[in-house]
Amino acid sequence: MLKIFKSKKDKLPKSEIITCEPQVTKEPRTKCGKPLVLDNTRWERRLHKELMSLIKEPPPGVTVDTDSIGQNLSEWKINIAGFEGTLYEGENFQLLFKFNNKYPFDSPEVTFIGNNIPVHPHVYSNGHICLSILTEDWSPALSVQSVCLSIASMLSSCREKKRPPDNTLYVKTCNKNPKKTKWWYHDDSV
Amino acid sequence: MSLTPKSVDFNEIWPNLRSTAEAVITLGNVNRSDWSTRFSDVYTLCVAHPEPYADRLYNETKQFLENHVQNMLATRVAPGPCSTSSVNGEPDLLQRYYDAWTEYSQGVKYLDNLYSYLNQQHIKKQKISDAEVVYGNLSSDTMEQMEIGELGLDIWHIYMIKNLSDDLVKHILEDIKADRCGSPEITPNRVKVINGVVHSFVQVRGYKRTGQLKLYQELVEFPLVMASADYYDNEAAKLLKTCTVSQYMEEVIKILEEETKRAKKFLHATSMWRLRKQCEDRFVNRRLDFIYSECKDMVSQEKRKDLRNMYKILKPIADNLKSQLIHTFLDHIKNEGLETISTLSGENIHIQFVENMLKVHQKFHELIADVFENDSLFLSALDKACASIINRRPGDRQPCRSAEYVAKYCDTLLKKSKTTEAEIDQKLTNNITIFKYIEDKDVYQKFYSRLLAKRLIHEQSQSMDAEEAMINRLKQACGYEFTNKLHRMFTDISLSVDLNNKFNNHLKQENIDLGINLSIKVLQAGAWPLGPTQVVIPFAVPQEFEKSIRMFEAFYHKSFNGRKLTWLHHMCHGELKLGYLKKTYIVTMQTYQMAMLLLFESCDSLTCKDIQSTLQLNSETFQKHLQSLLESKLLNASSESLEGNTKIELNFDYSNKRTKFKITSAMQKETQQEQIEHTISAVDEDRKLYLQAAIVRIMKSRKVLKHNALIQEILSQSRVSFTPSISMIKKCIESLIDKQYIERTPNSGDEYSYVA
Amino acid sequence: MKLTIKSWTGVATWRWIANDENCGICRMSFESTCPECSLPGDDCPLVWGVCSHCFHMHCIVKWLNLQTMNKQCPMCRQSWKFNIH
Repeated sequence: MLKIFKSKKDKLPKSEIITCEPQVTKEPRTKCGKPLVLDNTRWERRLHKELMSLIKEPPPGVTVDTDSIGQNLSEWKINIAGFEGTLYEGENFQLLFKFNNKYPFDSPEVTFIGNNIPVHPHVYSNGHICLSILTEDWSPALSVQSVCLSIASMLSSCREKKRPPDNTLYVKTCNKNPKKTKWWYHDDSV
Repeated sequence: MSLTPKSVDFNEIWPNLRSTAEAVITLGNVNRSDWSTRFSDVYTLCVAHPEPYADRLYNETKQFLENHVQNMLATRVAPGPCSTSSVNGEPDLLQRYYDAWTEYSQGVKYLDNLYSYLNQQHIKKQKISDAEVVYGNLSSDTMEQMEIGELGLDIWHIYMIKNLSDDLVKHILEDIKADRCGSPEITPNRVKVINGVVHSFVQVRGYKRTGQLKLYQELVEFPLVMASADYYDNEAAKLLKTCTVSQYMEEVIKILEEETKRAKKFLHATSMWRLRKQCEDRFVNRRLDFIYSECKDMVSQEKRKDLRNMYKILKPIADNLKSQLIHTFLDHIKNEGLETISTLSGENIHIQFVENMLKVHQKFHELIADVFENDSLFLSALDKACASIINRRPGDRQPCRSAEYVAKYCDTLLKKSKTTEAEIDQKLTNNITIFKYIEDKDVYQKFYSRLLAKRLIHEQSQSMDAEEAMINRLKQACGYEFTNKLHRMFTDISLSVDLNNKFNNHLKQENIDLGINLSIKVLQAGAWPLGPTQVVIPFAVPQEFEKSIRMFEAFYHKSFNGRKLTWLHHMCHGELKLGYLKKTYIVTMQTYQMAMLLLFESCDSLTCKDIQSTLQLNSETFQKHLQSLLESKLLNASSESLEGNTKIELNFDYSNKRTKFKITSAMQKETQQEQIEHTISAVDEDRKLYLQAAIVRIMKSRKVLKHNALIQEILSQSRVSFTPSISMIKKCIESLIDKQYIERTPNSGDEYSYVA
Repeated sequence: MKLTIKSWTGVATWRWIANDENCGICRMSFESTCPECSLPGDDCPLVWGVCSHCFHMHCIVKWLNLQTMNKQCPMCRQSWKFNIH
């Protein structure tokens, strides 16, 4: 169950918290550039911030299913509504975001879930999405919000509702994790 | 001689062997050839053919020894007077026993050598191994054969000691009692006799693998300890009737020493501590009430001799029994400490506070070394007392000001003064002693960093080395996080020195003469405790040095990409040369004051309104600084109140004995009290944030935690820098519940769970 | 000259000039530090790319170290080059 801060001011200013932390922190402090050991609790702040802004100022058609968010923010469910004037008008979809502890340096794992998987040339019937920013074109400057918007725009620009040509084979043979798939991003226009 | 086994006649050899054995055991004369012959006789008998005579030899020898000892008892030891006093000159029982034992024990050793072959080849082979003793179920009294030396001792025990022990022990106890009374009969020789008799009970069992001391303990130690206990009890009772506590303790120490010596003199070494324990029990443990009856006075009057004695006699007893002395001592330190700091007043209160506390600490530290042998129990009492004095709040509502005092004390030392560097160094080191007791280390840090900032910005430090050394001391005591910002501030200053040099070189290279001796300090915004004053006050920089500032900024931006400078004019100051008076003066003043005076370069009189609008100062800053210039008499005002039309004029009649001086800065008018309150409330804010962060951290890892467990964890985490009040922790928990970071678990009122 | 300035001792603080308030990688304010530091300023500096985007140095270095092939600016995907001046 997720609760929201009463106001932005209420949140603990980050720099203050850190400055007065006792010297005996258990996690080893690594500066960037040294062997990558992400200190989860510190970097989790970013996820927290993202969640707050998504709840407070959601982009049109996007809502966070706050009940779905677990203790450590590692899985979110986000509802997306098909935009008016597109092939998906009136439909509702649900996305599952999974974050590992390297986020935002590693992309989240994003799939459609639920009964209604959009029929779209880049969306497989198991919910996997062929979208380059989710794998090789990921950048830490991207966010949950920008990913949602990309997916929404991918849906909006669709001209014909159909599954990808290799859907049957892919769904049979693919790894559960879409990030394990070596995508071949054949069509940038859709 | 031949080593081949041969047929021999036992009856032929034994009588000779027996007579030699007799001579050996009585320490008679045995010539070498006899010895050698008998030695090989033993061998011959043991290897005799067709049947060896080893068992027979053993039995005959045993018989011989039994007879010998019985004979000794009957003819030499038993007959005669029991005690010396009865008949003059004749040896008494102890002496006779001792003489007999001395001879016999030595004789048996020789005899054992004579029977080497029997011992080595015949008996040792039959002996059960150590492992069998431990693991087998053989009783130790199996009819095994013993080596001849052992056999001799065993026989002595059976035929001599068993018969005489009651009498012997009775005499031993009597003699020890006589020794306690200082009887002249206990001569050194007599001591030797008693000691010999006592030790014979140990030696006679010396060959045993275990329980060598059992016989001795049963016969001598136990009865003696019992008898001594009664004796000690009586003595203690007697002393109580006649002595003061002080005398009693001295007597007890004397008795303890004597009894230890006595134990060494007469008894086996292992008995010493048993006797001593008994002695301590009767004289100390059972008389604690009496010993403690004057404890309070002795402590409060610091009667070192008595305290030393008390410690000496209490030292060996259980720690909990000493607690009364320790508590009394602790209270005494507390009282003295509180007294020395409670009456402080005046401007130098911080110096008095630290120095008085140090005196108290040093005094008792020395006393503990001198009187209580640096016992850790007493050292920790000193620590507790000091911590309690230093962290005591003068009243419920009043904060404890020690952290502030100690920080100010450092400031006083580190500021320019006539004190030598070595002395400062020593004092700062001492100061750490007091610092370590402070619970509110965060308050200290706040004060310290503000004062350090002032010293560094206003160049008031006596020595940068001393500053650095002090920061390092704090780092040692509290860790890197504690001094992080202090280090940073320190570094900023040395970086600024470099920067100024580079800037000056740059000016030289470019052939620029600013006409002003410029010196700039560039501080890293986050590291300095500049407080709300960081808010920039609007100010039109006078053109006289605006160019210089711009030159510097340009230079800085070229050196450091992506940084912007904000000038803290209220902290800047300069020297202004006044050339319009009879004498030339050089006056140090703040930038705002300087800017105001500079306006009079082209005229002699201005209205308040003109000044304020030219400089674009807000009225508070304007009033404050103009006021300070009026007070310095450099300017005159046409009226008391500084209205817009009030005329301000240069005072051409100004004169001063000194040609170089400084105008009091306007900032100092902020009252000290305000500053202190401000610092304390800043600390409070920090603490709340710290506690909230700690609670979130703890709850995040624990998920669910009971109230008390949470409080404990918070306390242990925050100990490094401060001890939060429970009420503050509770407030923080409440506010986190409000913010829905955590919530009360529904089924239990005193349990919280983490909300993701 | 009635009044001449002999010397002036100035005190200034410095901050980063960044075109954004927050670091695009960690989303922390540039006025404070990256998530792994405690003291803002020199200890946790900002760096600029030639593309003019600005990050906490620790954040961008961490990102660049994770990129095996082409090291790009997270904001504009231009190949990343530090803007030394």
